[in-house]
Amino acid sequence: MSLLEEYWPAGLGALALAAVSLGTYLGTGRLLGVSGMLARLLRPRETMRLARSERGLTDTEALARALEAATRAEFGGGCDAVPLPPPPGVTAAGRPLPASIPRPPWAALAVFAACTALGGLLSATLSGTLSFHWDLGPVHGRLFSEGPTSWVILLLGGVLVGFGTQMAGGCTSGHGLSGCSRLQPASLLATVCFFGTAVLLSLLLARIMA
Amino acid sequence: MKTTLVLGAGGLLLGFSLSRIGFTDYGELHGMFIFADLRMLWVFAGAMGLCMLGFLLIDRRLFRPTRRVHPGVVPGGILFGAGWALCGACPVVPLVQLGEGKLAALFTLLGVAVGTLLYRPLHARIFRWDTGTCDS
Amino acid sequence: MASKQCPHAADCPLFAAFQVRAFLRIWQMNYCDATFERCVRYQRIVEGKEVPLSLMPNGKQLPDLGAPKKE
Repeated sequence: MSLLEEYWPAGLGALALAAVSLGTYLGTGRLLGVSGMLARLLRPRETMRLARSERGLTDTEALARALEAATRAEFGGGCDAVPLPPPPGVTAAGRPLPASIPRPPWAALAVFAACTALGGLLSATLSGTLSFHWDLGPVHGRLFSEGPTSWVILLLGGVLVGFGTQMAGGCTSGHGLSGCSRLQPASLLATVCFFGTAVLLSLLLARIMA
Repeated sequence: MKTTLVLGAGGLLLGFSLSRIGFTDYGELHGMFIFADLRMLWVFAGAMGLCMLGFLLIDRRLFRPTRRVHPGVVPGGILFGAGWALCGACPVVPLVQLGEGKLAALFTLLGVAVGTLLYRPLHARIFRWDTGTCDS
Repeated sequence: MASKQCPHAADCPLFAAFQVRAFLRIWQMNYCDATFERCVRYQRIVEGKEVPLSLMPNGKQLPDLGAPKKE
C-alpha cells in the first residue's frame, strides 16, 4: 500500500501523466491544455454560444451545402468563374471536406474541473491525509508566513499564473506536456521561461528566508 | 457525450496522479525548484518522453510547428513562472488542492480566475499581436 | 506569385475546406491571399478571441445545422 502513502516514483508518475495527455488527444481529438479549458470554463455564455454555432459541423455533407449557400449569398454567380484553378487533384465535385473537430462543450469542461478536484479528494482519502486547513504546509509557511499574509501571496501568485498562462498561450500541460513533446518551438521557449523563472525565484526565496 | 466521459476520466486520473506525485504539495514543488529533490523533474521528463513516443506513433503531422512564437510567449512564461513559485500552482493544481482539503487554494483559484479573465481585454486593447491559430 | 498569404492558412479549417471544392476558392482569392487583414476570423485572433469553425471570413455565421445525427 505504499503507493498510496508515499509519493509515486518517477516512472509511475510519468506513465500516469502521459496516459492523461495521450488519452485526451485520442478520446477528444484535441490536445490537452488546462489553461485554455479554464479560460473557456470561466466564460460560460461565450463557450455555449460557440458550441451551438459549431453544432452539426461534423456532418460534412450538410457543411458542404451550407458553405455553398454562403458562397452564393456572398459572391453570386462569381464563384463559378473563379480565375484560380481548382487545386491539384480536385474535380468539380471536389474531394470530401476535411472533418472538423468541435471544441468540448461547456458542461464537459465543468465535468473535467470537478473530476480533478474529485481525484484530489480520492487521493487524500485513500492515503489518509484528508484534512481541512487554511495553510499550504510548513515550507510555504516558512517562506511566506501563515494566515492573511500567505493568502495575499496566493492570490497574487494566482493572478500571475492566470495572466501569464493566457499571455504565453499555455501552461504546464498545454506547453509543457502537449507542446514540448511535439517539439513545438513556442512551447519549448515558454517552458524554459516559466520553469527557469520559477527556479530562479525559488532559489532566491530559499536564500533570503534561510 | 463521449467528450464529456473522456474529459471526466482524464480529469479524475489527472487530479489523482498529480496528488500522488506530490505536485500539489508546495514543499515538494519548492524542493524541485531548488533542485533539492529531482524526483518530480524525472516525472516530467519521463512524461514528455512517453508523450513524444505516443504522438510519434499516432501521427507524425502533430510535430509540424503550428504553435506560433508570438511576443507574449516569453513575458507570459516569466509571469507564470513567478506566480508558480509563489503559489505552487499551475492552473489545474488549486482544484486538486481543494479536493485534498487545502482550503487556502481558494485564494489561488480566485487569483487564477481573475488573471485569466483580465488578460483578454488587455490583449484586445493593447498587445494585439497575432497569437496563433484559428483552430485552438 | 509570392503574395502574402494569411499566416493561419495552414491551420485554418475553413482554408482547408476551400482547398477541396473549386467554387470555394473565391473566398481564398478575396480573403486568405493578400487581403487577410479583413478576414473576420483573422481579426478575432488578433483580439485573442476564439474562432468558431462556422464563422465565414465575411463575418457571417453558417446557419445552425442542428444537432449531429450521431456522435
